[in-house]
Amino acid sequence: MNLLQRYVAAVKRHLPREKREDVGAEIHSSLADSLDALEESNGRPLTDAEIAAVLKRRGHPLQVAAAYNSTRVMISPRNFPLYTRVLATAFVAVAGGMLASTLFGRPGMPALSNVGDALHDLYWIALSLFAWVTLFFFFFDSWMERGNFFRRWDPSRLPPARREDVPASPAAGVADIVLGMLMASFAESGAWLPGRLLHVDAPLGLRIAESWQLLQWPLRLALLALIAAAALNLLQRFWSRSTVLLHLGGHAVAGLILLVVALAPGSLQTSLASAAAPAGQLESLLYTARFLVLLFALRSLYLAASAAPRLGRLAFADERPVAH
Amino acid sequence: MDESTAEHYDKIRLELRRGAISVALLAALREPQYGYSLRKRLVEAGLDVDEGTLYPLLRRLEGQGLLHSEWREMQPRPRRYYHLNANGKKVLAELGRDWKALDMTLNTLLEPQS
Repeated sequence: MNLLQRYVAAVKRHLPREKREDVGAEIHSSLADSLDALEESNGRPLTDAEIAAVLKRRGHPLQVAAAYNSTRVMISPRNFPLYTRVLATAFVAVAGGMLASTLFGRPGMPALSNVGDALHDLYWIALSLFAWVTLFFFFFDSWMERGNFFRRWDPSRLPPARREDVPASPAAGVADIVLGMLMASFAESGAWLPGRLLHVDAPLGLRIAESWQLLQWPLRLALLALIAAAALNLLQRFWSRSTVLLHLGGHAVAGLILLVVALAPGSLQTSLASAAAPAGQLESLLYTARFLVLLFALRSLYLAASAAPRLGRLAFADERPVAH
Repeated sequence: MDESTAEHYDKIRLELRRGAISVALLAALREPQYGYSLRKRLVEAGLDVDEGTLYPLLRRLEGQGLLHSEWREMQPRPRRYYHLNANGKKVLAELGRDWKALDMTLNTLLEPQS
């Protein structure tokens, strides 16, 4: 089989079935015409190297075939920035949840006892997350195209212009999601530490005391609010009034509740009676836990306080003319 | 022209040519042509279009209902001939007017300002 036939066969392999023979025949015919013309101008039969040079000029079979195929991308360039932000935000949320469950453990599976399993799970969850987000954007893109999204948009529904847009730091957003999930996991099911910490057999449960359960719902809502604000900031990249409100409210309420939990005696309880543990060790553990909760509380209160001026700026921004 | 400017120039030139090639192709196909003869005709007129661009573009214009094509048995090999159809003639007439208007506009803009 000569070089020309091999080339055309290679191109045909990458062509859609319905135009394979027709396009293949045309490529063969046009290249044969080019080779004939070159042979005539040289006044002698072409060498294999000269034929190869003509084929090389025409392009790699993949490139040549691609020009005949319809171009369809999974994610269009206009949606790609949003796609990567959604993917990153979803991944941070999943990783934060996995980290919380690994650090704090659960009944029968004490903290840090399942790091290998957690990494394995994270790998598969991240892969399926990638697949689902990509699939979602694929259909979202088709919907935008079919529904004439870009023709039907309404300029009057554009968000208000602000004198200054306040950028939201991605690192702060990631920290808020991860730490928020850690605290939510602790508030929900406590921490389960390996029993060997206190030289006992069973894992040691440490959680907010049952008599303090009344605070659970406000704490849950506050943590949900600050996690939602962080996720929205990661997607939008700029603070909006609603995200500042969620962030400020969430951190203020969570900070106050956690401050009370950290300072009030009897707010934390363990699954172990004091008598079952070596003297003083249970108390040291409770003090350490209180100290960590206090750090969370102070961080939240600091963030709430520093967000207040930002809310002021965003609240009045619309009333001032935009400088051009 | 430095390297970066030359690169930008090449990109703009390519964009400028892209639309013009379609018009040139339609104009050249008022007479039936097969791929190689069409390319030769364009080169003679001063427009060098590489084959990787020419053949897929012919297919696209045919898919848009502007060209008619048929295989003709001839020596030394069969060839696919393309020809402007009635729809293509109408589009070419419109494009010709657009081209002349654009040419006048650009000439006005390109004239040195007094």
